Amino acid sequence: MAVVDVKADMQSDQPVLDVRDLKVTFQTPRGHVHAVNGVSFHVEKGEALGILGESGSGKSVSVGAIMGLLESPPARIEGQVNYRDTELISAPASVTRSIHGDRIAMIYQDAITSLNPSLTIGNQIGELFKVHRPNMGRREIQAKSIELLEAVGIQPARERVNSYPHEFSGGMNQRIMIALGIALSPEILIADEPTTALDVTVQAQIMRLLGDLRGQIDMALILITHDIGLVAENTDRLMVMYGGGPVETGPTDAIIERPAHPYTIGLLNSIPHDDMKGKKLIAISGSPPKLNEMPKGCVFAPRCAMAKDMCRKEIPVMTRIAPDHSSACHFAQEVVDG
Amino acid sequence: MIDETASTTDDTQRDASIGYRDIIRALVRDPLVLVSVIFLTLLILSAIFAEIVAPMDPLIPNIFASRLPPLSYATGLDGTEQLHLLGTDALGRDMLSRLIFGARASLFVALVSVFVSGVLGTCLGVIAGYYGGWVETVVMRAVDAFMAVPSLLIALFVLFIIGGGLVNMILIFALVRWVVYARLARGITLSLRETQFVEAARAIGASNARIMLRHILPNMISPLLVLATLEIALLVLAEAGLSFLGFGLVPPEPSWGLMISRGREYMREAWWMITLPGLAIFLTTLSLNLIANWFRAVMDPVQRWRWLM
Repeated sequence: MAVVDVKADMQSDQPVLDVRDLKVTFQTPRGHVHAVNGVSFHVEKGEALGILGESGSGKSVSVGAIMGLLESPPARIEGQVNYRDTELISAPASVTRSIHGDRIAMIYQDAITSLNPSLTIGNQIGELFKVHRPNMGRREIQAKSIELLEAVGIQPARERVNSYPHEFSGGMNQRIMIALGIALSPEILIADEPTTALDVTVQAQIMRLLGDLRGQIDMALILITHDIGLVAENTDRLMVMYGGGPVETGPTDAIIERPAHPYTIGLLNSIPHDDMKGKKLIAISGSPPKLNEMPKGCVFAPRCAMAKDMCRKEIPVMTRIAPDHSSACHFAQEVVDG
Repeated sequence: MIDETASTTDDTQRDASIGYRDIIRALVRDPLVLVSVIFLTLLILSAIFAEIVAPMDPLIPNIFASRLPPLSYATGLDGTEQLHLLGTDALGRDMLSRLIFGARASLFVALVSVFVSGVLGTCLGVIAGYYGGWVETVVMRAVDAFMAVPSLLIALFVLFIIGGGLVNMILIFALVRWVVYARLARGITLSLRETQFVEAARAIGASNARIMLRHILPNMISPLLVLATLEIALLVLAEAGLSFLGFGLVPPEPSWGLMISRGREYMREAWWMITLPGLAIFLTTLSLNLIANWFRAVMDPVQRWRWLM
């Protein structure tokens, strides 16, 4: 906490969320599973951070740890999650409860299962106010819920506020989730694959809506996805994760233009383009490592086309290749230079 | 899943709030349930106002009018001619009056015990399922212990020691029947607490108590309601059974079970003495089941529109 105190008088420069060396281990009968191995990142006020990775890369578990959703045991969480001056992992439940939902909100991939089927959506939006703003009256809550539904484009909000989740389409439900997420004007909104279950057209609408709302309340966004196109369009900075840890971090544009890790290159190559007609799409061979049988050296080495002996023996550390751009590859510089 | 929900969305604006009018309309379209509701309403009303409704005193015997078949006239103790609509029992007491007063005892015992055991069992079950660990172990082992012994046997044993009567019966039923609710509630809680909407509730900073009360409980109302109605039926029978064996309500207190027990001796010559209270139990439990089924559908927001359209 001492470090944070020194920083306290320079509030404006301090990131809203600072995650340091986060490790999550699950204790299972078959041994320990290292789901997240030392993830560090920070989010500045109002910025959009993308976390990119395939299934099993540890992105959702990292978020679970930040939001206090992991049950422990079996999960063991180490490291720090600092929201401004509060360290969330060691903080008592009463403190984290007042921050989650209010200052840090989250929206999920599958909106329809994230909404309680037996409560009206008005009820569910109202609950946020009841939990975090106990002084608000019923009328006020009702008015605010209607206002929020209008803000996310659900019409006619006054009538729809009494509907149940099953009476809405998937895209509508995701809009309701967003209304829930932004209800208390949080500083950080974590979106865990918010558009994966939706059509491409609806996906674009939802992302545009998120962008608009974000501008209005100066809210930071953490966008978690496996869709590289989505992060390219919607984020400022990017963290690429693989096998439970970050492999590359930096500004989104820089990573997409000059990727510095073979895994990122593999991801970029697996997107189809117009000029590839008739050619074979290049996929990354193999599959992600099992989390309880991690390779000895670089986690990506078994699937890496450029892997050398060194990669199978030594774990690479994050090395800086540009002021704000780092990669966890022994040969990062060579990779960038092509 | 998403396509399915999309198709049901925009075509009609369904007002989610339902009024009395909708419920009555839905009832009229379902005559069987309507009849059940009318029957139970009349039964409950006549049980409450038994003193006014019942044509005669259920306790005063009239030896000269014993074992009269339904629809027979007899000279009462005051010398006037009286109609015994449903006949008389072995001591010449009016069957209809005894059935009405018996309804009071049977329904009161069943409803109060179901309420007490339901609330107790549901609370313990939800807590056990939600927290797990030693809480769950303690509660569920207690459930196993109660399940291992037939509940009627425990009731019989305890009532034998502490004596019968209305209050004791209610307490005993609550004590032996909470386990069924605890089992059901725990099972549902186990699956619900892993759902995404519970996780989402946790992510908005809802307390454990709020999650249990506002998110888990409403999702188990339908199955609990069905179980509770079945339990009412079961307890009406249990009350009858215990009274029949002489451990429940004490004669001459009218109760359906006691009436069957007395009527059994005259089964050959006076069929109405055992048939009518049996019919009362049968119709009550049947109505309860029909209503439970209908109520479950109407309570369920996903199914509701089919019934209210």
